[in-house]
Amino acid sequence: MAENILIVDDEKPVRQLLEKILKKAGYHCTQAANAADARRCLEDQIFDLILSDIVMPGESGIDFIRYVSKGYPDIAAIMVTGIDNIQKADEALRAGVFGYIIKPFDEAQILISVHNALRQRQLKIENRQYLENLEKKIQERTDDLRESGKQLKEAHVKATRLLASITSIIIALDLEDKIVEWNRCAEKSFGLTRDTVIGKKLSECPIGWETEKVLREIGLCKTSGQRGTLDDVRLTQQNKKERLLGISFNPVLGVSGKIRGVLIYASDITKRRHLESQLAQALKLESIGQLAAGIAHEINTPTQYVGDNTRFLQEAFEDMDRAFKSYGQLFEAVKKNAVTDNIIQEVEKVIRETDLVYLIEEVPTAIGQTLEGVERVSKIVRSMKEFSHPGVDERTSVDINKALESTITVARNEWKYVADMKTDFDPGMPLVSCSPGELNQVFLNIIINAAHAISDVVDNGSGKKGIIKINTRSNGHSVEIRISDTGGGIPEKIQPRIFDPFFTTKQVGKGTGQGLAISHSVIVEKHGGSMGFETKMGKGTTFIIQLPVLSEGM
Amino acid sequence: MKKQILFVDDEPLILQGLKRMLRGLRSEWDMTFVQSGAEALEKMVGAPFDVIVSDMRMPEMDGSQLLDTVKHRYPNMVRVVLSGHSEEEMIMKTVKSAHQFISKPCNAETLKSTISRMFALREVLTQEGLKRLVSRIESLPSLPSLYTQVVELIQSPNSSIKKIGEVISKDLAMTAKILQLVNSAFFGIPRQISNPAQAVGLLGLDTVKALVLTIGIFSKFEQKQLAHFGIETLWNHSIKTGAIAKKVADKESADKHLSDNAFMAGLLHDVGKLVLVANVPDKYEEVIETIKDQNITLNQAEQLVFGATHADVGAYLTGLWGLPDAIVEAVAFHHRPEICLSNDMIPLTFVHIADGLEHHGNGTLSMEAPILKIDYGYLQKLGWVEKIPEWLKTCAENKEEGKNDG
Ligand SMILES: Nc1ncnc2c1ncn2[C@@H]1O[C@H](COP(=O)(O)OP(=O)(O)OP(=O)(O)O)[C@@H](O)[C@H]1O
Ligand SMILES: [Fe+2]
Ligand SMILES: [Fe+2]
Ligand SMILES: [Mg+2]
Repeated sequence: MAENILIVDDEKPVRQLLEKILKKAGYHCTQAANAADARRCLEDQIFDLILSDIVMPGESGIDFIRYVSKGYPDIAAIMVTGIDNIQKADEALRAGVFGYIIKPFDEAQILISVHNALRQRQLKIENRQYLENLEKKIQERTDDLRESGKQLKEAHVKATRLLASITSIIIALDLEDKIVEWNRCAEKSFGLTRDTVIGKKLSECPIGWETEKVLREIGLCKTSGQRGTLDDVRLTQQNKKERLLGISFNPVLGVSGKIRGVLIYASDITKRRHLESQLAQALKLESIGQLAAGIAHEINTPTQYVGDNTRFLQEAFEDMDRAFKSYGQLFEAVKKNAVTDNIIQEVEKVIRETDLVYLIEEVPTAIGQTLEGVERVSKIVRSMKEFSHPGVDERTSVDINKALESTITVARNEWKYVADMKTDFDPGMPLVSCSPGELNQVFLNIIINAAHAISDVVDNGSGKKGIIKINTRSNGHSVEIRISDTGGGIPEKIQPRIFDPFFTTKQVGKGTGQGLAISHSVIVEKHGGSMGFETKMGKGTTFIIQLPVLSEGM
Repeated sequence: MKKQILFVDDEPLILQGLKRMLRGLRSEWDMTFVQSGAEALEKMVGAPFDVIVSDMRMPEMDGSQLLDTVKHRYPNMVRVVLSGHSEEEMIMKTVKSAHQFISKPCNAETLKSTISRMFALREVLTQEGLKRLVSRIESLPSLPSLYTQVVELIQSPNSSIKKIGEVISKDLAMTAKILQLVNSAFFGIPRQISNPAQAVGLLGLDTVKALVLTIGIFSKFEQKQLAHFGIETLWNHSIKTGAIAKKVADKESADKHLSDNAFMAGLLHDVGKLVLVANVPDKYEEVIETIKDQNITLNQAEQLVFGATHADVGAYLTGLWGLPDAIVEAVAFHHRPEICLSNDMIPLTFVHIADGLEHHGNGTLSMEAPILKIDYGYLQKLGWVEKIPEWLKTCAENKEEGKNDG
C-alpha cells in the first residue's frame, strides 16, 4: 500500500514540486496551505508522514508538528524549510521531527529523507507494539496474581520466573523511589545485584545512564498518573560498553485507584539501532552509484588519450610508409647503381615533409602512453570489482594494503582536485580476517571526509592542494591504518559527536552524517577493532583504525 | 596568419595526446598546450588566441572560472569546453561561459570539425567590435509573453514536453538557445537537431527546468521600445517566414528533416536584427533613419552604420553557438543565395523564398509587380521561376488559415 503523505507549505509551487517528486516515487500525497488546513486534513485521513514548512502564515510549522506528535504519535514528520538555522533545527528535532531538509532541495534528498523517516517510524511503531505486548502480558499476570489468593504462591514463583526470563529490564519503585523489584536483566545490564539495590532509592544506585532524564520522567509519571517513555537513553556499562535503552514508565495503581509506585521497563535497543545503521549502510552501498560519475570521468580521461594517440599512430604509420617507400626507391637505385640527384632530393623532401625525425622519436612515446592508458582503465575496472566486493558480510582474509589501494583508485575523482595522495604501506602486513566490502566502505568514508575537510580549506583561501596520507603498520597481532589530512581539524565542541548517527556539519546533499557512525560500528562492533582520531585545529586530522589480525568471536 | 589555439587540461597525457592527434593540422593551426588555468591566463597576456579549449574540472582554477575570466578579458576568443564530466552541475556551471561543449572521449573528427568551423566563422564577421558583442551574449531576449508562458508551463505539474516545445518554437531567442544546448556534444546527443520539441525531449524536462529556472538561460525583452522598430513585427515576420519556408518545402516534397530545418532557419533568419536591437538599440535606430534619409536598402544602411549586415551578425551568433551548419548557412546568405553554388534544395533555398514572399506578403502580389526581394537568377538556376504564382497561392492560404485561427 502506498504511504500517505501530507505536504504543508504556504507556497504552492513548493507543494506541487514535492507532490510531483513523491508521486513519481509511488507515494500518495495531500496538500495543505497552512497549519489550520493541515489540522483539518488530519481529521479526515490517516497519514504516515508529514512534510512541513517552518515559517507559514498562522501557526508555525514547529508548533504544528508539536500538535501532531501529541495527537498523532504514529505520524512521522520532516521539516522542509528555507531557514538554514541550527537553532531551528534543534527546536524541530525536539518537537519530534525525523528529518530536516533545507530548500532548495533536490529530488534525491527528498526521497532519501522520506524513505529514512518512514523506516524510522516503522521501527518505532514496531518497538512500541512490542513493549505494549510485553506490558500487557505482565499486566495480565499481575492481574491474575491479584485476583486469586489461592494461587498466590505459585503465581509468585511464576512471576519471578517470568521477570527473570524477560530480556528487558524491569524495575519497580514505590512512591519514595525505593526499589522493590529488580530483575535479572537489570542485574546484568547495570552490573548491580538485586540484593544490593532492593530498598535503596534509585537515585542512590550507581547507574551510568542519563539519571536526570530518567528521574524527571519518573516524577512526571507519579504526578500525572500517565505512562511516559524515553527513547535512546544512553547507558555506559561498567565494562565501558555503550548501549541505548528505550524506557517506558508505567504507573502502578492500587485497588483504590491511587498511585502506588512506578514500573520501569527498559529494553536494549542498541541492536535495533545497529540494524538501522546496517540498513543505512545498504543505502550507503548505493553510494557507489554516486561514485559512478567520478569513475566514468576517470575512465574517460585515458580513453580520450588512448584514442588520440592511436589516431596519431595511424597517421604516423602512413607517413612512415611514405618514407619507407621513398627509401625503397633509393635502395633500388643504389642496387642498380643509378642514384641521381633527383632521387636523393626526393628522399630528403619526404623526410622533411613527414617530419620523420620527430616521428621516430614520438611514436614509441605514443605507444607507451597508449599502453599506460589501457592499463589505467583496467586498473580502475579491477579496483571497482575489488571495492564493491560481492557478499559484503562474508569474512575472508583481506590484504588491507590492496583494499586501500582499490578504494583510493575508485575514489580518485573525489580527492584528486583538492589533494595529493601519499601512501606508506607496511609491506609485511598480515592478511586480516574481515569483510572487505564493509571495510572498503569505512576507508572510502574516511578518505572522502578528508577530501571534504581539505576542500574547505582550499576553497577558503590557500588555493593550493592539500595532502592525504595513508599509512599501514602491523605488529603481528593487530594492524593499524592511519588516514591523515591537512584539513581544518575537528573543533573540540563537536569532537564527542562525530560518531553519532546523523551528525553532520556538511550541507544537505554533501553529507548525511552516517559515515562515521557506520564506520565505527563496522570496526568496533563487527570486527572487534578500535577507531579513534587525533586532530589539531588548522593542521588537520588523523583517523586511526586498529584491527585484530584474527578477530575474536566471529 | 596561422590560427592561434590554446588547450588547457590538468592531465598532461591528454594534452600530449591532443597534440599528436592534431599534428596533421600543424601547418594551419598554432597550438599551445598548458596544464592550468593560471598558466593559460599568463599565456594570453600579449598573445591573444582565437580559440580556447578547456577542461572543466581542474585543481585550483576550474574551467568555468577560467572561461569566465576569458570572457571578460578577451571576449573575442571562442570558448569551448572539452570535459569528461557529464554531471549536471558542471553543465549548469559552464552553460553561460562557453560557446560550445564537447564531451570526452571525443573522436578526432568532432574536435577538428568543431574547431575548424570556429575558425571559418571568424571570416564571416570581420568587425572586431561586433564579434566582441556577439561573443559576450549568453542569451537573447524573448518576447515577454512567450517567456512568461514557457516559465509557467515549466513550473506547472501537468505540462508536457510537446507544449513547451511548441511555445519555444514561436520564439527565436529561446529556439536559438535550446538548439545551442542540444547540438553541443556535451549532452551526448548526435549533432544537428533542429526541432525545439525534440530538443526539450532530449535534454529532459528536469534539465530544462533547472536551466530555465535556476540558471536563467532564457530572458525577457526589457529594452525600451524603439520608435521605428517593432519587436512584435520582427517576431511576426520570423514566425511567418518559418511557416512559409516549411510550407514551400513540403510542397516541393522536401523530406522531414529538410522541412524542419527550413522552418527553424526561417524562424531564425533575422536573428541578427534581434542581436543588434537588443544590444545597440540606438545604433539600430540610426540604421532606420539612414534608410529614410538616404533612400537606401536596409542592408546598405546596416553596412554604413555597422560595417556588416544583420545576416552576418546572425550567422556569427548561430555559428558560434554550434547550430546546424544548414541553419547557419541559411541565416548568413538569406539575402544572397547565389553565393551558395549548390543547385540542391537546402534550407537556404526555402528561407530565401519565404523571406521574399513574407516581406512582400502584406501587399497584393501579381506577376506584373515583380517581387524585388527574390533572386530570380537563383530561382532560374533551380528552374523554379514558374512556381512563384503557386507559392503565392500557398502563402495566401497560409494567411487565411492564420486569420481563421484568430
Ligand atoms: N577529516 C575530518 N576533518 C574534519 N572534520 C571531519 C573529518 N571527518 C569527519 N569530520 C566531521 O565529522 C562529521 C561526521 O562525519 P561523517 O562521515 O559521519 O558524516 P558526513 O561526512 O557529514 O556525511 P556522510 O559520511 O554520511 O556522507 C562531519 O560532518 C565533519 O564535521
Ligand atoms: Fe533579413
Ligand atoms: Fe527577413
Ligand atoms: Mg563522511
